[in-house]
Amino acid sequence: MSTASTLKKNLLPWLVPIAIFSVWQLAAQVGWLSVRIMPAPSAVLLAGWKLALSGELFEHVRISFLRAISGFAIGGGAGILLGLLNGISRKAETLLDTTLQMIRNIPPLATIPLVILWFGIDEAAKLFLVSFGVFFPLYINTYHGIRSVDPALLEMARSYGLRGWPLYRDVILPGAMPSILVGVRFGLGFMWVLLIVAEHVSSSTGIGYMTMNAREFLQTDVVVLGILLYALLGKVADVAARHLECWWLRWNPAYQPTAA
Amino acid sequence: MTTNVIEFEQYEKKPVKGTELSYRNISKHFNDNKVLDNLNLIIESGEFVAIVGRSGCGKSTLLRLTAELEQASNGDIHRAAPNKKISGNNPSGDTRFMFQDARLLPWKTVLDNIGLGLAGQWQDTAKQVLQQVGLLDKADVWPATLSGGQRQRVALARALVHHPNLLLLDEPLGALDALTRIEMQQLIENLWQNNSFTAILVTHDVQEAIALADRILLIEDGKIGLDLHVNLPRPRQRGSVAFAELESTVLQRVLQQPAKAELPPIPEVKTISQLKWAW
Repeated sequence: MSTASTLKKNLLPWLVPIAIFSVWQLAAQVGWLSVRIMPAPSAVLLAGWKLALSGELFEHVRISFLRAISGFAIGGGAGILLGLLNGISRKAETLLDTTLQMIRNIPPLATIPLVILWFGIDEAAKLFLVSFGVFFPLYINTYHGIRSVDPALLEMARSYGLRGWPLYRDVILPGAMPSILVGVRFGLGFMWVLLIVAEHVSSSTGIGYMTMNAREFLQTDVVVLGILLYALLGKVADVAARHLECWWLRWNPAYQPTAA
Repeated sequence: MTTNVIEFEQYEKKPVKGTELSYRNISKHFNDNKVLDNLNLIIESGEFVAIVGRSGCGKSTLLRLTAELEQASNGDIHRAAPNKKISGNNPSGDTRFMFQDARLLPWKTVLDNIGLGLAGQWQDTAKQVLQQVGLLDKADVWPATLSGGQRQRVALARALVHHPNLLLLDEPLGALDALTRIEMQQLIENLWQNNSFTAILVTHDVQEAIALADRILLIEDGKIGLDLHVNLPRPRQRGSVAFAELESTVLQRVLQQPAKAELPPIPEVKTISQLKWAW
C-alpha cells in the first residue's frame, strides 16, 4: 500500500471529530453559542492548560484513575475468580449462580442510598460502586467462556494425560480467554460510568469533583474539560484492552493485525 | 505440499512393542440402542487392523472403548502393554488416539501442540517427529494457518512423539482430499513399519483399509461380521489385480447387509400454490 493511502486510512477516522470541533469553534467565536451554555474548544483547551500548569489537573486525573483501576481490580478480580469457580465446579454453580443472577439484576446505581449509609461518602463507597458494576460483566463472561470451551479439545487433552493445573493452563483458560476479554471491555465501560456517578455524589478530589466545583462557579470550560477527560480516559482504557486482545488472542485469525 | 520424500530415521531407537489386545464379551448400549453386542476379538501385538462397516455400526465406539474414552456396558478389554511407561500421568499413557478432526489447540504453536503433555526437554524430540511428518518448517506457526492435511500431520506427530504402543485412528483422513489421503496413508504405513506399534484404523474407505491393514474387520449387528487377513506385499499397489479383487470382495460384503434403519419417507412438500392463508 502506498504511503498516501496509508495516510488517508489513518486520517479518515479523525475527519468527523475535526469537522465537529471546527464548527463548534466557529459557532462560539461568532457568538451563536453563549459561553454559559458551551464554551469554545479553545477556551476548554486554555482551561486545561491553566489547570495543568498549576498541577491540579494531573492530581485530579491521577486520583480518578486510581479509583477506577482499584475498583476494576477488586470487582473484576472477584468476577473472574467466581466465574472460574462456577465454570469449573457444578457444585459451586448450583450453590452460587442463582444468587449471583439475582444480584446482577440490581442496577448498581440503585444501591447508592444504601452505599452512602454503609460506607459514608468516602473512598470506600466509590470503590464499592465501581467494583459492583465491574463484577458482573467479568463474572458472566468468564463463566460463559469456561463453559463454552470446545469439549472435543478437552477430550483430546485428557486422552493425552492432562489433568488438574496443566489442563487449566493449556486448554481451559486459553479457551475461555476470548470471552473473558469481552468481559474486560464491558467492565471497563461500566467502570467509567460508575466512577463518574460516584464522584458526583460527593468527593473532594478527582475529575468529578473538579467539574462539580466548576459548575458552582459557572466555569463551563472546566465542566466540558472534565467531560472530555472522561471520554479520553475511556478511549485509552478501550485501546489498552484492544491491545491486550491482540496479544493474548494472536493465535486467532480474527485478531491478527491485517496485513496493511 | 512438497513433503512426499521423508527420511524415516528412528528418532530414538527404542524397542517399542505393540500392545496386545483381547476383547471379551464386549457390549455397549446407549440407552436402548445396542451398538456392540457380545463382541470377542484378539488383536496381536504390532498388527495393523482396519475396522470397516456402515455408518453407525459401532466401529468408532469400539475404538473409543479401546482408548478408554468410554466405558463398556459389559465385558472387558485386556491390554498387554509391554515394557514401558510414557511421561505424563494417565494410566493408558501407552495409547494414543487420532481423531477425525485434528483437534490442535489453536492457541499453541505447532511445536507446542506436539509437546502437549510432555515434560522435561521434549523440544528436540518433537522437532524430530515433526521432521518425520515433513513439517519442520512449520514448527512456530499457529495451527489456524495450516491446511487440513497439514493439521492431521501435526496430530499424527503429536501422537507419535509419545512412542505409543497402540495407535488408534478414528477416520483421521476422512476429511482430506484424495491426493493428500494417499500421501498420508503412505506416511502412516511407513511410520508404523518403523515403530512397530499396534494400529487400529477405523475407516469408511475400503481401499484405504486394504492399502494399510494386515487384517480387516467388518462390524455388523454389533459383532465381527468378517475377519480377513490381507496378505498383499507392501507397499501395496492400488492398481494391481489382487488389490482390486480384494477391494470388490470386501465392498460387496459390506454392502450385503442392508443399511441399519430404513430411512423415513420424505414428507410431501407443499408448494406455495397449495398454501392457503389462514383467514
